[in-house]
Formats: sequence, structure tokens, C-alpha cells
Amino acid sequence: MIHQVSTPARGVPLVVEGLTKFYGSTRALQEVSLEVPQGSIFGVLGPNGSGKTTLLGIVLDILLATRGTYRWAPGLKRGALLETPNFYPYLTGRENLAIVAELRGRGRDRIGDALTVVGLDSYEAMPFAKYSLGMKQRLAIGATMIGNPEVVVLDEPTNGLDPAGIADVRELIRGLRNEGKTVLLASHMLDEVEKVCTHVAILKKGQVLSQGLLEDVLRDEDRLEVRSDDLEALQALLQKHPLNPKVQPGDGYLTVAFEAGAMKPADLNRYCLEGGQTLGHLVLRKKTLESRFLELTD
Amino acid sequence: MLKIEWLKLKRYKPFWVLMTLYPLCLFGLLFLVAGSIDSLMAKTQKVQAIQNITAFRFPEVWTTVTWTASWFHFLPCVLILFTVCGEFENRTHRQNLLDGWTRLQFFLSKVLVTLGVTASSVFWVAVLAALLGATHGSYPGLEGSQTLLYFLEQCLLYNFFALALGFALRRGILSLAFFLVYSVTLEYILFGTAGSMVKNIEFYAPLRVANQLLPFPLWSEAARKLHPGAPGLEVLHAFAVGYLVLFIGFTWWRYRRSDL
Repeated sequence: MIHQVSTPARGVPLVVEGLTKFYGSTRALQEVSLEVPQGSIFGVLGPNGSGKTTLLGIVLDILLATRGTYRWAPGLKRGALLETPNFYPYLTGRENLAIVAELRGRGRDRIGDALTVVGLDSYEAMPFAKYSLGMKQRLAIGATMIGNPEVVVLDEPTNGLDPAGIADVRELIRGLRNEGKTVLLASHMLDEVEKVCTHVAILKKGQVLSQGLLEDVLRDEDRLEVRSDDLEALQALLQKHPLNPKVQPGDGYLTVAFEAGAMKPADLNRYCLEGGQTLGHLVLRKKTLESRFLELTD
Repeated sequence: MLKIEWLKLKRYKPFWVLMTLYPLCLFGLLFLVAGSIDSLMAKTQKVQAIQNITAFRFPEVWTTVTWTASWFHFLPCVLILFTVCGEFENRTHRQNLLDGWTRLQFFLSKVLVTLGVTASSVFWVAVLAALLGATHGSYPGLEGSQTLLYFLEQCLLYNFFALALGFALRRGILSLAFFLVYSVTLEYILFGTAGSMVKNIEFYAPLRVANQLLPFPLWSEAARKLHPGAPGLEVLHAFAVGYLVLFIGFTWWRYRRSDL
């Protein structure tokens, strides 16, 4: 059961503590804890089946947690899209948004704006059942904007959209950030998270592997493979480097990881020479965000 | 809440079809029967006799109309099943929650729709009884109108049974099939079988309780003699209230504790 025990700290719209969810004997989430900072675009990144939608479903009260708590800041206005767009098929786009406006206790004056923002103003009188998949997704995104919410929760918002639509949605999300809104975004696309998010939590098999600022979690790295006659002395020397690289022993060599662009191979060679180590092997291997993500989730 | 439900229903074709069909069937049937009898009497030149057919005069007309209407409960029940299951099939109940409603608000909105449909049934029955009574040479009176309250009770039992079924099964065709099978045969089979273990339990089945509130007008006394184990009206009312509480309580309990 969910217990909303206290108010989150100021500036934190959502706090999640130890959420665990079982579907029968299958564990979908395990002890997930998060803090979504005010004004952030918080990405929940993970492969399909990692528990992203389950996590959002629980904090939106669609699913019940087996254990754990979540707390929304009180009085917060929310807009949300979870999984597929769900609207009344026999009603038009505008009529569906009118229901959303009433549910949020808002006037219908922003419906036209929402339809324009998602490019559906020409199709507002068409029944939802006749919309294409992309149009349905656009309408669902438009619906999240009704009532000027402070927090927008989006689950795979670019599903079913063409490249232009995907670009529009990403621009829309950046626009929300510029307006000071908080966005909680679930996606399995690293590219999407990388392009729009400020913070990220990486989920795998229902567990949070890593979370924090995007640049901290998914930092680009340059990896250099080095070898000298005395690997122990070389390792000790590298660990004293002022840029504080990660040094890992390999099979007859060392791997040294620096933040992308922070260290040139020639500079490292000079550093080692000055430290009394002559390198017999020096290779630069660029590490991409994708390989970093795969490393985290593999 | 009602405003939002109205926005959902005003363009929902089954809503208008079923809401129109109910009074149409009722008015059609009763005016056809009454008209046929009137014309038969007129042909035999017993004009005075027309006004003596007590079934269509106050106060008996209340019983005649409510009993006849009790055969048409399936129409509002189908409407309730379709509106509730439609929310589950289109997953719009989830969207309602995402857009700001709580689970309790969604549940209460459906309770309100059920009450609205019930009120509409009672309204049409009252209008029909008044019209039939007035056209058969009698003046509206409160005498005998308590059957309208029994009819209200019966409607509530049927409609909230449908509501509970819709929330439990969540699929329109499945719920409809179960409702029809249960109301026509399954309840008799289940409670009839149980009756061999617990004496007279068949009289306390939910829809049987509802049906006993309005027995066939001409045979009500004979029926009581035929079934000496049948409960009295007070007991029936108590069971009706109990079942209503059970249906509403079960529906909310299940919805509150389910993944949506």
C-alpha cells in the first residue's frame, strides 16, 4: 500500500522511497528511490521491461505498489501521458480536451492553444477514433498541457511520431523547462534523454542502477590503454594524476578513463615520462554515451 | 461530476438509443394493451366497462405499470454496463485519473450515472401511470403509489448489480452475457441448488428479492399462498438495502484495490 506520509522538501515536487512492485511472483520494481528536483527534466531511462511505466503508473495512482512510498508536493497541478493515448473514440479531439479541462477544474479557453501547439487545430472536429497513431499521441501530449500544469509526466512521448513530430515534442519539452516546469520523462531511447534531460535515473530489471545529473551519470569518457614495464608503479602514478582518472587493470595493460576531451594522449605520455614511466603502449579508445548506457544496463 | 459525465454521454449513441428505447417500449406496450382492451369493450358497446377496468385506473394503475416496467430493467442495465465497461475498454478511466480525478471521484461519478438512469426509469413509469390512469376516467391519487417506491428499490438493485458487474468484469460483451445468463437462469440454478441445503434460501437471491417487491398484480395473494416460505415485504426491504450496500461496497472495494 502507498502511504503518503509527509510533504517533500521545498523545491522537490516528487520524492519516491523504496518502491517495490510485484505482479504475482514477478518483481517489476525493487526498492526504487528518487528525488525529482524542481524545474528539472528528469529522465527515467531503461530498456523495455525495466519498470519505467510501472514506476510512473504507481506515482500517478494507476498501479498500487507492493511496498514503499511516494509523495507529491501538495497542491501541485499535474499533466500526464502514460503508455498509449486514452480518449473517448466517439468524441472529437476538442471534445476530449474539454473533458480533460473539466477534470482539471480549468476553463476551456486553453484548448485551442493546446491543439495549435501539437498541430491538431485543423483536426479538432474529427472523432478521436479516426486519428492516426501519431495524431493520437499528439493529442495526448496536448492534453497534458491543459490547465497549465506545474509538473508534466510523459511516458515514451515520441512513440508513433514521425521524425518531425519527434523534433516538435523535444522542442516542446525544452520549452516546458524554460517555463520553469518540471518534466518526468520515461524513455528507452538514450538519444531522447540525452537531448532533453537535465537529470536521469537508469533502470534495469526494476532497479535504479544510477541517478543524478545527466552529465554525471552518462558522462562521455575517453579511455586510454597504457602499458609500461612496471604496471604497479604506472598504476600508482596514474592514480596520483590531478584529473583523478579511473584506473582499471586489464590483461597486461591499464585502462585510464578521463572525462571526454580532458586529456590528450601526448599529455598523458609526457606525464608518465616525467613520473619515470616509459610507455610501451598507448591507445585512445573513445567511449560513447551509448556504450556507457549499455555498460550500465548490460 | 455530472457535468463531466454528461460531456462523455451526450455523443454516445448507445446512451440515446437505450434511453429512448426504454420509454418507447413501455409506452408502446402498455398503450397497445390498454388500447386493445378499450377497443374490444367499445365494440361490444360496453363503454362504461372501459372505465371499470381497474388495472388502468388509480390506484391499481401504479401496480400495473411498475410491474410491467420491471420486465424492462435490462435496458438501463445494458446502458450502465456499456458506459462502465467502455471506460475500461478504452482505458479512459485511467486517463480520468491522470487528468486529475481520484479513484473515489471516478467511482462516485459512475454511482451518479447509475442514480440518474434509475431516476429516469422512475420518471417515465410515473408519467406513464399518470397518463394511463387519467385516460381511464380516474384521478391521480397517492393511494397505491408506494409501489413506485418499490419500483425505485427494484431499479436500484438491478442497476447497482449491473454497476458491480461492469466494474468486476470490465468487458462489455462479457458483462452483458453474464448479466443475461445470471438474471434469466444462473441465479435460479445457484440458489435453487443451495435451497436443497438451506431451506427457502432461493427467495433471498438478489434479483429474486428485487422481483418479489413487485409481484404480478392479479396473482400476488395467490403467489403468497403458493410459496409459503416466501419472505414478507419488510424482510424483502431489509434484504434489498443489504444487497445495495453489498453491491456498492464491493464495487468500491474492488476498484480501490486494483491495478488499473
